[in-house]
Amino acid sequence: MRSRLRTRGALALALAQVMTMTACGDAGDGDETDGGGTEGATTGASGDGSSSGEDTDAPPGACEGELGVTAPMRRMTGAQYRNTVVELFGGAVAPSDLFPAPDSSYQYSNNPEANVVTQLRAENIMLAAEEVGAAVADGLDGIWQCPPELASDAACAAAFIEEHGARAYRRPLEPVEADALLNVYSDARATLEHHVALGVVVATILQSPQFLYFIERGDGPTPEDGALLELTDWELATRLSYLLWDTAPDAALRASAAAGELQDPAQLEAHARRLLADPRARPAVSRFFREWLEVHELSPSAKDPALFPGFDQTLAAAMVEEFDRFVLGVALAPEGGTLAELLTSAVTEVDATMASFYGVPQDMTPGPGQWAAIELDPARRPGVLTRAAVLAEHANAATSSAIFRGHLVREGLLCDVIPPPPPGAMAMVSFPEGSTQREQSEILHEDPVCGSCHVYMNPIGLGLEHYDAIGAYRADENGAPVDASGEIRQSSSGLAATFDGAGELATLLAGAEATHACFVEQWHAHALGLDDRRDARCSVDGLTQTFLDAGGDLDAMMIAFVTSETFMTRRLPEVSP
Amino acid sequence: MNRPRKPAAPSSAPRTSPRAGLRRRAFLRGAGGIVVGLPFLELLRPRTAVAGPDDAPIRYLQFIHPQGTVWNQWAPTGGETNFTLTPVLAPLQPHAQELVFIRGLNNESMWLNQLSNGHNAAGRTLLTAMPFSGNLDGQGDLLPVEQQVDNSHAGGPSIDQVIAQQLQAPTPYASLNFGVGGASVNEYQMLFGAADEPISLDGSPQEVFDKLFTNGDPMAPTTAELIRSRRASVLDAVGESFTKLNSQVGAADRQRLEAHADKIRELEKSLSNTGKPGIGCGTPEVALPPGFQPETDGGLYDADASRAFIDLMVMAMACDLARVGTLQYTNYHGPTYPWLGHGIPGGYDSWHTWVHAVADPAADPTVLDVYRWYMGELAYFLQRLGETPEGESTLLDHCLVLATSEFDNGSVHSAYSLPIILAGNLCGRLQTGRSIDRGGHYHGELFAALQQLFGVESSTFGWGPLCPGPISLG
Repeated sequence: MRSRLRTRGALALALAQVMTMTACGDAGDGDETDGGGTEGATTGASGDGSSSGEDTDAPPGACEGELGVTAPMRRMTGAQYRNTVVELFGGAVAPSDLFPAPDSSYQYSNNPEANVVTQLRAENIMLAAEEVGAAVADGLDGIWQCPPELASDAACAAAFIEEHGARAYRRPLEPVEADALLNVYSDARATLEHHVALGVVVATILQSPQFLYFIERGDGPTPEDGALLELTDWELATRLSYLLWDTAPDAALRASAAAGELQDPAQLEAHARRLLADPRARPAVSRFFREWLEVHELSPSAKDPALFPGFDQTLAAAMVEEFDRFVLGVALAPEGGTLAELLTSAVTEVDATMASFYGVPQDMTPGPGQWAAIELDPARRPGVLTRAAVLAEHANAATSSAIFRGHLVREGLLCDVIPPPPPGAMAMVSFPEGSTQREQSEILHEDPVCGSCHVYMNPIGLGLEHYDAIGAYRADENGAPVDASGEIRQSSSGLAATFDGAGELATLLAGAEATHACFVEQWHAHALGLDDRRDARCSVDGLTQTFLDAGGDLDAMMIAFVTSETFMTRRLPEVSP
Repeated sequence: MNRPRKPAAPSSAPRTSPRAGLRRRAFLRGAGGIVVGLPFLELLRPRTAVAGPDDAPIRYLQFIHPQGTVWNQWAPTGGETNFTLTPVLAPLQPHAQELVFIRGLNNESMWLNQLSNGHNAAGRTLLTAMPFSGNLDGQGDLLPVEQQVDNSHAGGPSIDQVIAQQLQAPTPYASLNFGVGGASVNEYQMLFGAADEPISLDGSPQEVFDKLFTNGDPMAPTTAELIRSRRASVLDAVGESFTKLNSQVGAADRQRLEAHADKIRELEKSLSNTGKPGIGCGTPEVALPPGFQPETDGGLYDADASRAFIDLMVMAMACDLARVGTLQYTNYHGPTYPWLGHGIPGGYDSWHTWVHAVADPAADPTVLDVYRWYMGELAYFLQRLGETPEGESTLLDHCLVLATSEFDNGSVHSAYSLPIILAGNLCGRLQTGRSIDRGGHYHGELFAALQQLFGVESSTFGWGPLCPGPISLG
């Protein structure tokens, strides 16, 4: 579990101020002075929590019709860099792993704040570029052949620069850019051989801002703060390709961009469908789901080895792989999967390790190294919240965690914000040795300060008490049958109901508009690297309606997004003070 | 790490031919010199100008060994100056008068991270004394447990990087950081340049050798070396791209680009840093056995990597490539220590499991041997520093070495009374040959004292409430 609080600092702060006046549960209707939305300033609601069903009133702080989403300028992530290097040189060059990884404490890895260039990162970007440059120089013959009609090394270099520079910068080079790279070549060529001098050019390209940053400036003059820009074809091709493939535009996208076709939403849609149907979409799309649900690489040492001796590297890795296969099985289903299926389906893929973990009968267990589709017991394994990786990630080393799991549903699936507790909260309660999650939650709930927020988290997480610290199913705990009754208290997202166990929770979430709106909001944050999502409110509202109209079809949502005004424009951020 | 292998040793490197009865080893040799900026011939000329301790560079080195030690029989017995070493410390006997043993310092800061497992918390706080950045709110205050994360980067820099920042040494590298057992630190990310700025380790002796000591044969440089030789020109062109773009984008974008361009300018500046190689500077002879891999499941080559990295570190210091360095033994989970000839006895699936199971390490000869091995490596490190001349004395006299572990007692993830050894007298600034008890103090207070030895004026380090001030080293 990682906190998203830091990525939404300004918002958390606003909520903290509310908190000092009124605790979560007493916030009432609150003042909506910030035009907030689903994440607006009222986490709590005045309801007593006994009502069920959804609040169908329009949430406060509604969209006022402003177009475009303020999007920060993003920098290429480590994963995108590796894919891009492979793409640029036809797979002939191993991408350097010296390129810095994003700061993992931010939810979405393309958040610009996770990719700020420190001194060390600048050095590592340089070292990575030099490593790739050397590999290109040494392997030049297998990567690129100088057209035979070009008589001189200089002409050859110019052709190399024109082709690879354009692909790296994801648009045709401006003459001054080509000249600058040619100068780097000429200076190097004075003392070095031709192929090495081209390696120096590659090292330059891979450190250039045109390559490292997704620069979106339209094709007009220098834009003003807050301006709404129409993106160029090249910028659109780049957005689309990095969103769905995490790599540079391929030949077909480049051709469409060069032909000026991408201003046409139908063309964008056609390319999006093509990209989604390609295996290269798999890692990029699963990255969204992992980051959304905060599923990271699991480590055996994260769990108590005395209690969970079977939680070894093999099982930990298989859980994450199964998660990927499950979400992709829904999101990239040829016939189109829905958010409801994601939340309720028990159809997944397992290997022998996961088959054993889930208790799949021997005769249905795939052979070594094989993965096969299977339907698990829908009563025990409904939907993504009961995937082992999700449950193990959102748990303690030795025990499950009503807080983490409730927090995941509350912030990840409903987009409500739980503000930080007041100072000194840790000293307010203590838990008896060996107490269950339900017992600990009751202590928290009864405390007037802790309880005002924890009632919004723990009662949801308690509905997942059938799953232990590594996500294994359990009927009993400490010799008594598990009580998995839970409750979603009404808050700003509007959903309120009581339920029993993961199946009912999944069904509730699957049927809620709030879950669909939140999913669309998460997609916006991922797609645009948003640090502050409030400005995306109008776009989220509009796309949510489309999403609901399409029956929650994930494919339809993604296609609608990439053909929307939000995708095709960019509102420039204001300079932070 | 699946980093593609770099070209093997420089083509000019001689290799010993296999001889019957001898273990064949591949020797890495370079012609001397460093990658960045330093003219090749410079190194062949003894730097007699570097003479007295007054103008000798001061250095800070770290030796970090995992999983604690023989906690119940670690501290030397006897008095402050007439002490006797315990069995686990026995390999350090030849250097006893160059050491300060400190017991009693607690890493209380690991417990600020209440949701973390013991390893992440201990590792990230050991050298930073700061809670996770994810456990701090926007004002830098600690979040309550419900809002805490189970892991994130440290909320501040590690002591080595604070000292590097203070020294501002004119060396090609601000610090050199080696992972004995490989670059993967797993739960033990210990070095941070600042909050949220983890520093990675070099895990391959071969790659470090290539990076630091191969201008190779100036007659036959590798492609990578040739490309690096164009660094100044490349960074210059990159800088110009930033400048040009700045005039074309909006103000917020420009702000981000300018912040990055600043770092490029700092890189350019560091290119002219050549350090001041001392008379001990030369090319290390690094021996690696055939089949050597920096990172294996059982840590099969850790003993070889240890000696190689120690030799590389010592020579890097002698050549003034950096003045701050860390050796971190990264293989804490499954090393099998085959060179000790014990094996991991049945019933334990890993060294890690074994550590957890051993209540009385002093009573278990195998466990004692493992922990003592690390002290033997420390002794070798000190020996090499002590026999490398610099000016009229040795490198060791101009160094401060910190040796410690993230735990005292690995079986229960305890970080109380950390096993701390200081070595070297830092040009006379530290009085050695002592064993002292600073019971009741926090380990951040030690770092507050160490940073002052290097001229940092602040009297606090890490998490303020756990650092009332520097401990006395006198």
